[in-house]
Amino acid sequence: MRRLAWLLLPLLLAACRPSAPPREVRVVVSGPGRLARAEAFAAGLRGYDLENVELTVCDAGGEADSLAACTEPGPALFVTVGGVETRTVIEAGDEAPVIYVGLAASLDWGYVASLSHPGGRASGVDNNYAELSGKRLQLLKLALPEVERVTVLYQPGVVPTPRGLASVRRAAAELGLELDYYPVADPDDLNGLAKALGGSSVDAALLLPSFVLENHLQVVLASCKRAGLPLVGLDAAQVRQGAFLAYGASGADMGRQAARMARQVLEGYPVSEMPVERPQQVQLSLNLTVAGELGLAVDPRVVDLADEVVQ
Amino acid sequence: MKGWLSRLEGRFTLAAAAAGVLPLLLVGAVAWYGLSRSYLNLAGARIESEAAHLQGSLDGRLETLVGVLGQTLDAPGDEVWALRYAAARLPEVVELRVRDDAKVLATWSRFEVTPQPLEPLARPGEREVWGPVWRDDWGEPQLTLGLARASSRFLEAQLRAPVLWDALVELRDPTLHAFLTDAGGRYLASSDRLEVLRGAAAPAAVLGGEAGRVFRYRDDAGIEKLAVVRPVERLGGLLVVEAPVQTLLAPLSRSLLVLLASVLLAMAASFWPGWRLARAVTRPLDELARGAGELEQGSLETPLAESGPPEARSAVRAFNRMAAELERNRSELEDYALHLEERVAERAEALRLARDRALEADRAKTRFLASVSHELRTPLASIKGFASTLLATDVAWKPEEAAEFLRIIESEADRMHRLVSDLLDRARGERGEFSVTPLMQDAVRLLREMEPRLRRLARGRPLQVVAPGGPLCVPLDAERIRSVLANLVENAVRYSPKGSPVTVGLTASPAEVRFSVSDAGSGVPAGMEEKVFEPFFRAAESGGGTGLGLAIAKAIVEAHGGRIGLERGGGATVFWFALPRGECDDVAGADS
Repeated sequence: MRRLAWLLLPLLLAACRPSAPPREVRVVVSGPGRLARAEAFAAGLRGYDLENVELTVCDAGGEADSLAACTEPGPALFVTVGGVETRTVIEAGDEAPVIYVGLAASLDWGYVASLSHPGGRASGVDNNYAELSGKRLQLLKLALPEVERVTVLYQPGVVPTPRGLASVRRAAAELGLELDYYPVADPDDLNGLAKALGGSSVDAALLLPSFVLENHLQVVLASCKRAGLPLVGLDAAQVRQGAFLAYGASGADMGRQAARMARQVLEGYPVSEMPVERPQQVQLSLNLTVAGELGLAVDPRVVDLADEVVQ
Repeated sequence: MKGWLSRLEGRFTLAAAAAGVLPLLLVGAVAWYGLSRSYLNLAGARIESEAAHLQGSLDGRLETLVGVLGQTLDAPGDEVWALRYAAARLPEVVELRVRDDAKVLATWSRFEVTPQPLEPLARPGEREVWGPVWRDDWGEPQLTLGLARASSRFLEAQLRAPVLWDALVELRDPTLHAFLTDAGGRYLASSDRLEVLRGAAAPAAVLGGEAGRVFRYRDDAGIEKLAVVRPVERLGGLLVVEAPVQTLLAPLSRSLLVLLASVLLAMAASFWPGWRLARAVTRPLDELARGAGELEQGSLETPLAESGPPEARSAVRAFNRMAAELERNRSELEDYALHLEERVAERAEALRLARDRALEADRAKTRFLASVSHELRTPLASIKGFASTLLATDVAWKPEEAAEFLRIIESEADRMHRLVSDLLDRARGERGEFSVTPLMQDAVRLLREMEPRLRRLARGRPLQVVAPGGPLCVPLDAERIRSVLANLVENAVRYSPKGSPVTVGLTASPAEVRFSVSDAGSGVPAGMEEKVFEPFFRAAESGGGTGLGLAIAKAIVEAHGGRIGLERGGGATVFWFALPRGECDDVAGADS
């Protein structure tokens, strides 16, 4: 009888076992310009309907200083939506793994040893945006053949910037374009952007990956509009906000990709062995409304190439 | 464990449990076998269906891809815009190139402004060539395709295999795992992106499976899986759809486990009262067996505990009684054996005493006969002598002399008469036939009326009669009591010094009336107080008397319900007897 009781005991214990505390997955966002990626990731992760997982989003609201508050220890997994977020979390020193959604120039940050074997506590989806900067310049030239001179808006001191600048310089040389450069180290630098663009003889502006520029996109767009220049952005979301053209990964796709990776990490797969992925899709987006406002003649063949057209 | 099992052996608790569990387990095993086979057959059909569906999608996608690129190659006009359109329609395209025999006509890359030149792949006479798979810096497998036209126009394409895979319709069953291998067996695309990017090889066991048939295999981790393999001819690889058997059977296992757990719980719940019931029956049997063993060894130390149903309690009670009886008999036997010698000694002593009594009785009888003979011979001799003297013819006796002789003869005859009467009374007393006829008498009056006779018996001795004034009523046979008093006075006169006084007293207590005769005689020797009341006992040989007087007196007194005894002290000997008192309502006259 005692033995029977011992046999039944595990069943009773299993039935009475208290549930483990929920595991937090914290999405760290530097500002509104990258919130769409966070939402895409959240939607993707919720789609897996994981048990005992609590998803939180920590939005710094565009204030770099506030980002540190998002790195309080406790989460089972950090999810970052860009370079500055990834750097802030990793430098905070927690041991929790990090999955990034749309980091540009993964290798340059130094958080991964190689794309196929990261070897550290971070992996994720590299948006390839630095390398795509030259491609964006090529697509601008296809859409607006008359463009000859382009101002490159970049943030100095940011890791992807050198790779992005190299890409656009190489492309400009191949395409016969001239480049101007407008560095934006902090938001205050944007105050003179409209005047600078208006006072130059450029035909368009090109955005390089930068959390300052992305989080203050409206200021950039307003400056470009005041100067009567089309802006080449990073992705479709920026086109929807007023950029003329963008060539980049789909935020929803990257969110789904990163959510899949996050699920595998939560199930125990070591992040150090998880290869960095490149975007599943790269989309061309056009805003013909902006083109119309600026009086631009867009090559209709490029319109046919576009995956998304705003008009 | 062994001891525990041995205690259970033979118990119908175990038999009952086994009788319940074994069929259940047997039925469960058969049900599990049948159901799992059916379930796996259904799962196999599902996997087959999914594999066919996926292969159809893959073949369709490859056909679309080859078709679009073929149209691009065949399209007249600006080749580069044709390539751009094709790339826009085909997300898996990384790079496209159109060339002829002499030069590259156009290139387009999804990521680069000026792409790296592709290796020539298309060959004249082969409309479609799939080249080797290579992996980029990201670890993504890249397919290469070459298309050729008779017009010597060629198209080479680099395609992202994972993107091609993702363009397929997703698996309809999330429990399944599907993947595509290249000709070398390495993962080309999969529902698990990790194994693709790691560049791992698919398990050899699955690659050797028969195409189009559901089969089981064990992967490198030892997990048993159900799989279907279908060849992808264009790529030279295999399309595999599989699922772990354990995962496939999980819904069935859960249901059966819940059912089994429910049955086991129900059995466990019913086992307890059943076990208690069985124990209630087997425990008394155990106790009886233990008790029998103890009895076999010697004795039952403690009574068996009563438990279980009434029948079992009754059996244990009967056993305890039997054991107690056996124990008592055994103790008696031991005690008897222990005291046997004492009993034999006691019995021997009793026999010796009986023999002594018999000898004494024989001696008494001899003495009695001797006494009787003597007592009879003496007066007979006297009678015969005096009668012969009177009858002598040679002597002429004077009348007064003859009268004296006759008086002596009469006296001796009286003596013989008394002796014979006493012997008869004694014989009656011994047979219990001594009869008295008590009537309520006044003992004081009886004594006063007898006083003259007592004085004659005192033969001149001083005789004092001491009696209370009032009446003392006693039921008595007056004649018998008078003879007792006379006997006692005669004895007092006979055995006390001449001239010493004799006192006859009468006293009373609430319960009885006491007569006493005291004298100044030497009395009866010490230790002979009881013997004086035996027949023919004489304190001294001289003195006359039959030796029966006191024995007869005792018989008379005891026939009245009284007592008789002897007391000595102060130089006097006192014979006494006491009779129960009565009421004086009906007092008879002393002479009546």
